Amino acid sequence: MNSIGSRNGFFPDEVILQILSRLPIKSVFRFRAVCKYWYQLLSEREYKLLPKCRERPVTSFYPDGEATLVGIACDLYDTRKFSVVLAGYHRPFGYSPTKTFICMVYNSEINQWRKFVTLQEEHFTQMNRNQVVFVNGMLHWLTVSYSCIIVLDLETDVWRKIYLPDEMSYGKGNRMYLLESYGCLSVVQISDASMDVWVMEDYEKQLWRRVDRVSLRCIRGLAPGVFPISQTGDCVFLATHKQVLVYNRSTAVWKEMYSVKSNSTLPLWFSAYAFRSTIYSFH
Amino acid sequence: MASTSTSTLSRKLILKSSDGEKFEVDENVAMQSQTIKHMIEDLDDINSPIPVSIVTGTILSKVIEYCKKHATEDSDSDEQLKQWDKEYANNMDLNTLYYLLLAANYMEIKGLLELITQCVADMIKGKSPEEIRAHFNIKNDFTPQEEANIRNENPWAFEN
Repeated sequence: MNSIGSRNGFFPDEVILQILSRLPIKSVFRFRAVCKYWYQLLSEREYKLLPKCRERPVTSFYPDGEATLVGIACDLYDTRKFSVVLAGYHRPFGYSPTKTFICMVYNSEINQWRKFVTLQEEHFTQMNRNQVVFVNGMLHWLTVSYSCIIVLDLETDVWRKIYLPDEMSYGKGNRMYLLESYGCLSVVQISDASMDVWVMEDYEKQLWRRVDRVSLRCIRGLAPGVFPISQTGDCVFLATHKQVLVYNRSTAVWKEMYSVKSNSTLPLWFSAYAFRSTIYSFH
Repeated sequence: MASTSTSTLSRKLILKSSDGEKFEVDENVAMQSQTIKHMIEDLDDINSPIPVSIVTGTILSKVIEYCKKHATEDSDSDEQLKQWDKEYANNMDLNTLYYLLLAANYMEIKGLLELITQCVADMIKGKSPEEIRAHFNIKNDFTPQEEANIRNENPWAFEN
C-alpha cells in the first residue's frame, strides 16, 4: 500500500479529513506532529468534530407552546452556514408548561426549519450568566442550578448532558459562566476571592482541567459583579456593571478597557455578550 | 387481487465492478449510494449494467451486504443495527477496510462512510505520532526543531 496518509496518497483528502475529524481532541493535537500535511489539516479553522450518532428523523409535532430564541450556531470563519435554535416547553392551553421540550432548528444551507420534541427536566434561561456556547458543532448551556451543561447536537438533534468537574464547589458566592477557549468548552467560576478557569480538553472523555486560578484581590471592589465575556490564551475579558476589564494572563495585570461615563445607560450585562464574537476576532 | 407487497414492485439494477463481476440488487438497496442514484437519473435504460469503476467485486459484495442490511432497517431495532455494524466492521482485515472506505467515499454511502471512518479513528486514536507514521507509511517531513515546537505547543496531548 502506498503512503495512505499523505496528499495524493491512497486516500483522497476528504477521507483523511473525515477520519481525523472523528478523533478525540487529545489525538488531534498529538497528530499534528505526524507530518506537515496533517498539521495543516488538523489546524484548519473550519475543522470540527463530527458527531458519532446515527441521525434521527424529525418528529412532526405541532405544539401550541411558546418558543424562545435560545441560540445561534455560527462558524465565525464561515458565516455562510449557520443555525438558529428556538426552544421552549410545551404548554397546553390553560396549563403550566410540561416537561415536553420542543425545539426548532433553522439550517441556512437548505433554508429550512426542522422541529423535534424531547423530554427535558433541566431548566435554563438566557440571562447574562448563562450564555450559549457553540463548539464541536454543538450548542451548550449551563443549567440554572449549575448541575450540568446541556448540549444540543445540531447534526443529530440529540440533547445530551455534560457534567461539571467534581472539584467545582457549588458553595455560596460561587458563580459560573460558560465560555469558549480555542474551540474547547470552558467554565469560569468566580468566587469573592478568585476566578478559576476550567477547560474541557478532551471532549469525548469529558476531561476537565483547571488551566488558571486568578486572584481577584486587585479588583476587590468590583469582584461581586464581575463576569467574564470571552477569553483568549493571553487575556480574559470581563465586564462589570459599567466597565470592561482585561486581565493579561502572562503578566497578571488588570486593565480597564472601557468605562461607561453616562449614568443613564443600561448595565453592560445586557449587551456585553452581543459583542463577544467581535472581541474574540480581535486577538 | 392487488398485490400489497412493495418488493414485487421494486426494480432490479445490475452493478458491475471494476473487474467485471455483476451483481443484481434491488433498486432501494443500490439507491443508498448517492453516486448510483445520480447515475440512474441520467440513464435511459436501467437494464444495462451500471459500472462502479474503481470498486472490485470483492469489495462491492461487501458494500452490497451493508446496503442490503440498511435497506431493511425497519425489521431491526437501532441497537441491533448498531451491533450488526460493529460486527461487520470488526470482521474485516485492515486492507479490506481501507478499500471499503475508498468505495464508500466514491459511491457516497453516508452511513458506511461514517461507520468506517469512526472505526479507523478508534483504531488510531491512542497511537503516538511515530506509530501513526508507521501505520500509514507517512514520511516525517518536520525538522527535529519543528517537531519539538509542535510538541511544546500542547504538551498535555503527548502525555499518557
